[in-house]
Amino acid sequence: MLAWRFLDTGEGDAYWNMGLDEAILMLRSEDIVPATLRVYTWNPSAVSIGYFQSLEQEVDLDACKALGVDVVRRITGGGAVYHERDGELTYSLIVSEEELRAKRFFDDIQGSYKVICEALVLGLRKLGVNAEFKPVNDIIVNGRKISGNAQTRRRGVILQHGTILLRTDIPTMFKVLKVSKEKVSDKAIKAVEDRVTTIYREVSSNITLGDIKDALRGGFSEYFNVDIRASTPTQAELDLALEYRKRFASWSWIAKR
Amino acid sequence: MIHLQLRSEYKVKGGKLIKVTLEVENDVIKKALIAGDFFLYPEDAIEHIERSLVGASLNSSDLEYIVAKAVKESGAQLLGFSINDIAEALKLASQSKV
Repeated sequence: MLAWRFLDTGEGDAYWNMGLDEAILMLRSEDIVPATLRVYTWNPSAVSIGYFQSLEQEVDLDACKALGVDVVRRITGGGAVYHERDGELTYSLIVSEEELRAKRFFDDIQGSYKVICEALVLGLRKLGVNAEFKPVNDIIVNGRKISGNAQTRRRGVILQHGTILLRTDIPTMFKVLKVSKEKVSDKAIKAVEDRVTTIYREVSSNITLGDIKDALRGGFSEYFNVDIRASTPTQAELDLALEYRKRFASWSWIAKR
Repeated sequence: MIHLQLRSEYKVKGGKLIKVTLEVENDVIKKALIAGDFFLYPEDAIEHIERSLVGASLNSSDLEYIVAKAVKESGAQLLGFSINDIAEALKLASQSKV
C-alpha cells in the first residue's frame, strides 16, 4: 500500500499558501510527489476569492488595506472567504482521480467532493463535532456551515482545499467582504451567526490547532484506509511555490475578473 | 450609439449566485462577465463562454443555445449551476435595461 504524505506547513501568507497548493498539484500530476494532505494557516489574515468571482464585486479593497488583510484569487471556484489568522485551519488534499477512486468509488466531480468531504467529516467527528456533508461543497453541523471546500483539476489530479472554522470575527468579515448591501447591523451579524458555526462553539475553545490537525489526518487515514506519513515539502515544491507565488501576488491575476 | 452596462444577480436553487455584467452597444453584447461562486471545470472555459456571447443580440432567444454550444465546445462541466441558470441570469441582465 502506497503511503500518502502529511505536510504541516504552518502559517504562510496568502500568495505562498496558494502557490504551494498549486506546486504540489503540478508535481503530483507529473508523478514527482505522492498524494498529499497538507494543513496550514494564514498570516497575515487574508481574503480569498473564487476563480470566477469579480474582485470589485466581492472585496472592499480599502478596508483590506486599512486592516492589513491580503487579497488573493484562488485557482478554484467557489465563494469569497475571510481567512482570519489563527481563526481557522485550512487543509488541501492533492490526489489523482485514479488513486482516489481506488480508495473510495465515486462517479463524477460531485461524487469526488462527497468522498473527500466524508473523510473530513470523519475527522471532525473524532473531535466530537456532529458534522455532515452538504452538497455542493459544504460541511455543516446542525444546519450551520463549519467548512467550505473547493476543487480544481490538472491532468487527472484533484486539488481540493477548504477551511475549518475555529472561531469567527464577523465584524471584520463584513468590513472586508461586500457580503450584502445591507448595513452591518446587529441583525446581519446575527444572521451569519445563525448560518455559520465553529469548532469553539460546537466543542470547546480548549481544542487546539494541533488537535484538529491530528483529527483530520486520522479521519483521512481511516476513511481512505491509507497510511499518511508526516513529511516536509521537497525542494522542487518550494521552488515552484515561490514561482507561483509571484503570479498569485500580481495585480493582473488578483484583478483578472 | 447607445452604450449600456447591464447587471443581474441570479440565485441558483441550492445556493450559488451568478452575477452577470453585460456591456451593450445598440442592443449588441460587446463584453460579458459571468461571475459568481459556482464551479466550472476546466475553469478557463468561462472565458470561452463569455467570448461566445460577444456579438449576440441582447434580445436574442438564442443566448441559451450560444452558452450551451460554448460549454460543449470547451468540454466544460458545471457544478452548482446549469446552462439554464446562466441563460436565466443573462435574461435578467437584459431585462434590467430601462
